[in-house]
Amino acid sequence: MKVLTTLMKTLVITGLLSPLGRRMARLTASMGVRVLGIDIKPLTKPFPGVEFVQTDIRNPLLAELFKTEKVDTILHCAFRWRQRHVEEIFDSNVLGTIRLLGAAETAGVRKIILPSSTFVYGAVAGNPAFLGEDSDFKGRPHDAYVRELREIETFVNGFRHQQSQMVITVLRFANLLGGGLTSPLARYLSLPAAPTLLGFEPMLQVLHHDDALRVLGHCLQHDCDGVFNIAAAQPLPLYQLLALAGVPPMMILHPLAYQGLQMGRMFSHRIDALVPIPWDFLRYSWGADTRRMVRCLHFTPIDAKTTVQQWGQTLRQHRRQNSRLTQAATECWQDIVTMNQKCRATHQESSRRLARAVAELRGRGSATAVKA
Amino acid sequence: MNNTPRPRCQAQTQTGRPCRLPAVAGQDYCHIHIKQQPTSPPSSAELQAELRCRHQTLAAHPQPDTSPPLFTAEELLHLLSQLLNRFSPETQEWLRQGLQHLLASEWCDRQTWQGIGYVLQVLTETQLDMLKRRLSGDYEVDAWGYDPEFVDTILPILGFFFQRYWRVEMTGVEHIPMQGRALLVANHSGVLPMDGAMIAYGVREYHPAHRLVRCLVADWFPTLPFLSIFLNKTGQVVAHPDNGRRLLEAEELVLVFPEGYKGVGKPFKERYQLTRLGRGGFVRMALETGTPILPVAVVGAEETYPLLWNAKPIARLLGLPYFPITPTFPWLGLLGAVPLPSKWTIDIGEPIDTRDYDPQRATNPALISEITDLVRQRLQDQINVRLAERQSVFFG
Repeated sequence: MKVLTTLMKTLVITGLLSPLGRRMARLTASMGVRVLGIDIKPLTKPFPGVEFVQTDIRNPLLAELFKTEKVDTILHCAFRWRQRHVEEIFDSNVLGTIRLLGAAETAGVRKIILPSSTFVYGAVAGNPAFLGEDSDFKGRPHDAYVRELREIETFVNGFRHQQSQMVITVLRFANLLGGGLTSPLARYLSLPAAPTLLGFEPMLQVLHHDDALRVLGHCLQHDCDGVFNIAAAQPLPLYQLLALAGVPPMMILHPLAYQGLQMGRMFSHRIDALVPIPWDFLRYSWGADTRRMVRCLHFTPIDAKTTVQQWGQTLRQHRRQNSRLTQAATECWQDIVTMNQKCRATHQESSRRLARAVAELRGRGSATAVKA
Repeated sequence: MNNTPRPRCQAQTQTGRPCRLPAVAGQDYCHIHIKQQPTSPPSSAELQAELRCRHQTLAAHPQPDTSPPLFTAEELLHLLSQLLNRFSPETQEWLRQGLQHLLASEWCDRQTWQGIGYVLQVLTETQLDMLKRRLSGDYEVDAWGYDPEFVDTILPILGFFFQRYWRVEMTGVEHIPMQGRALLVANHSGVLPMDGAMIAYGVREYHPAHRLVRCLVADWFPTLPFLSIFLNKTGQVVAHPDNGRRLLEAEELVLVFPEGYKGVGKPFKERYQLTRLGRGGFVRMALETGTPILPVAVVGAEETYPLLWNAKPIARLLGLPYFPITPTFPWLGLLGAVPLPSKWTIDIGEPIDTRDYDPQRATNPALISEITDLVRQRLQDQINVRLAERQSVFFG
């Protein structure tokens, strides 16, 4: 692990409009780095300090762009978290990464930072409680994003062996909480009731979104070659996590849960939204060993309990603001305000007319008096 | 004959006509109306005189008070004594003594009941408080999932088994260091892994430092509902070399059963004969971390379920590591799963120091098998000594 301070000239952020990309772009732009943002979606409102290029990361002209713009660092945030296998998304996630790495190689990019997830390890009964960075990926990848992340990581691992001079940092984040729906756990906790398996309580690790930004910032400033698990020190039992976030658990018998999900998928894929995390990850622990993070990055994340509590609070606040009752009340208030304004305008108008009429009458009266 | 007509009745009938019946001789009314018609109403002066007269008689002879007497303790005692007097003298004496005894005991003291009420109130309050706290997620577990509060609640159950049911006798607790890493290696027996729980309870209760024993359990247990939570909360960890090494590096006390399923599922006729101690993974773990190995001999657990036959085909069918056939299970259903109350002894032997060996040689298979054999020999010797001393399976 070589850790060196370097000066970064031009940074490319792929997936600029993802929550992580957006915040990272704002952060680096404010720090005075030239930021080039790439996204497949068009920019709806201007992004200050970022030069935006609307293109797909599979675009073969990217190498040319990197070369002409003298790009030295790439932060690859373009990953679409889809549970169901869609060929288009698989293409953009896995093949996109492969193409991007190829373009970086031809353009002579010095450093690539790749946010990944601890989901890649998989959850099986025989796993140690804390999985090191070199552990194998075990278990069946149930959801498409786990499979895609694994494919990306396997490719990057092979790519690393071919490239000795390029710095490739892979950051396996634990469940990100904060800054929007950034991870499957965030989506899981935003359900009205969280489905759990009866009689199983895995230990889950979380990470504050701000911590992810801090680590990414650190890796941008220093050269940290290798794979790192990034997670808050203390894993939390599932039910404690749910209690802290204020989400009621909905316990399901585990054979029923597995079978029910399979059956349900035959009828509608909308059922996936009810279980954002595959069942195995709610059954066995899949904690990651963070000793390398502490040793090489000298990094201490925010306490897990605080992270979960904050997430619960923001979620409830958000819900309160977005609830139908609040919306109805706000609309009502708006109506009242406009009505009031209208009334006042008409009232002023009528009083003005009255005054004019009175004045007119008076004028006429005095005129008749004069005539008489 | 007197022919003169008798005068008519003066009264009127109910219909309002004059009555046509003849009047009774010497009277104005007939025999019907004579009862109805009042003899001339008494004058008010007469009435007043009568009233005065009655009042005077009343005042002269006051009526006795008929309202019930006020309830007092004296009255009650009086009544009681009256009641008592009805019994025979022997019964009276017996009753009196009983009453005196009752009155003298603390049950009649007001403060006793106040105290009981206070204790109950505090108990329910603390329990409710704890429940509320746990439901709000405000409790601490360590990184492995060990939950001290949960262990405190289930400790009495383990205590019942340890002290009353199997009457476990524990020796050699002093060999466990007060702090720092140590590896306990025990023989596995009995169909259910209750021996681990008993060792952990014994060390917790009788070791001066009340140390927590981390048991490495087979990776089949986390796949079972409820048991997985239970094991997690009591501080047990899946048997993986990484886990063991990490625990020992954190200066914990780790218990392993190197025999594994082989020890638990061995038939009754092979009882107290150690099977192969795995592949010596625990020795490598100890060598790498420089941990002393303490052999722990458990005697008595083999008799809790005398396993006649390990029905492997059924086990394979159900996906279990073994399927026990005992004299009672599965014939008596759940009742057959009740263990027999044999007398247990747990002997913790002297530590085998692994720091004498070079950690560089930790991967040397010859050294590992050498130390494995040493541990196995020590363990078997301890078991044999205890078996020779034992007179009876159930009474020790």
